[in-house]
Amino acid sequence: MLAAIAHRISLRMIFDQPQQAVEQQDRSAARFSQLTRLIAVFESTFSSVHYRLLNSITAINAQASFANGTCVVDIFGGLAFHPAIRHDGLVFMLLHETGHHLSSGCKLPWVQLACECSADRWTTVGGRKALQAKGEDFRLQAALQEIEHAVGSQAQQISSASATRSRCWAMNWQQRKRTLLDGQATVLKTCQISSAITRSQSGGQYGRTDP
Amino acid sequence: MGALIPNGNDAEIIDKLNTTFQGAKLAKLRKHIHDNADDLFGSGRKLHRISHRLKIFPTTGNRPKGRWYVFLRDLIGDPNRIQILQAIKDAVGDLNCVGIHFWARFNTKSNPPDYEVEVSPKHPDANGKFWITITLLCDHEIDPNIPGDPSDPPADGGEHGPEHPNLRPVRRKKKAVKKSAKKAIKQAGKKTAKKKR
Repeated sequence: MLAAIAHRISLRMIFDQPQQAVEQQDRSAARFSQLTRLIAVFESTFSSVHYRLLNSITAINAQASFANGTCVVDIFGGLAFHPAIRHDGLVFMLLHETGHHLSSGCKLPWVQLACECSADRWTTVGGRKALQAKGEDFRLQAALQEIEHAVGSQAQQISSASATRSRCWAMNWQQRKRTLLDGQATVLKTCQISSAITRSQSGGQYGRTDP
Repeated sequence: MGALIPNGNDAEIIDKLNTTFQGAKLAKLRKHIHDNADDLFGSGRKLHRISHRLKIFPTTGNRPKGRWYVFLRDLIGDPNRIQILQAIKDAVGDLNCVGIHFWARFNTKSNPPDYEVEVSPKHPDANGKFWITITLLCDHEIDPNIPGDPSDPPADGGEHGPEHPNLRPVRRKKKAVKKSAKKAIKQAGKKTAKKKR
């Protein structure tokens, strides 16, 4: 079921995220129809997951979470209606978020969701296979290009030396892209995201750092 | 987290909170509270001061520390502050609590307040041990234009013990390994010396 929930227009986690203003989004009937169809395919393929299109939220992102014991994927309007995001980017995003719930790989250290790397791997292997059985597919390179184009400078952030050494690619877009395109997304036993998070004490950071 | 594009500041703060409230650091925190009779999470305490004392703040990007302090001081709201303090105090005070998971997610209510807090119920295992999860439900981000206030927050009334409790785990194992390795080398040396004789 497609739940279109209206909210105030602004975003939504603790710190800043890239946004796409409503007036710069593709709100055409064709786009709505494309999203509705894709979400229906996902809900029939992965029936334990509930997908919600939060269409007035301008964040260029999506999030997997739990609500009252239900596995939920929230797709924010800034991503769903971004003109740079097309079929491949949408499918990759939906598979990645579904992977947080359905991948049997290692979990995030903080919550019972598959970690970012496990979700990525599931996207390109198990999730893709399940989707192909329903006649749906995506092109990985095109998907990553679309997402990179949409999130812009955030994807260009340079990670610290310690983050780059980590086997976890979650916090480093370039490393993530390389790993996925080279087919090197291996199964990690333990989530290493803690070592991949950039901290100013660790000797380097992306962008400007103020107190 | 759980997002297509993880946010660095969110990830860093969630990671630091989770690391502090479990394992060796949680044990040291409990010891600090016990040894100093420091009611660190009492209802009158301020979250930004606690954050300063425990050195839990983001460190990269746009004025991260100052904006985090202002978020905890002015934006999160007093009912949420009290609820968070109570949940942490209960968890830290109960030795059966193995740790606290911290999490943040989007608030999907149609007309939510700025922020809300969800505290998970306890689900003890066969040994009575349990985790709790404190989730911050967010309806909007911290305004990027907020200048922030990175100065050290003033002390709360009734603080005891050091300003920054020492939560560093003691590293004993390495020494033990080194010693045993040295012993083994010495013994091997003695044996070869005997053989030569």
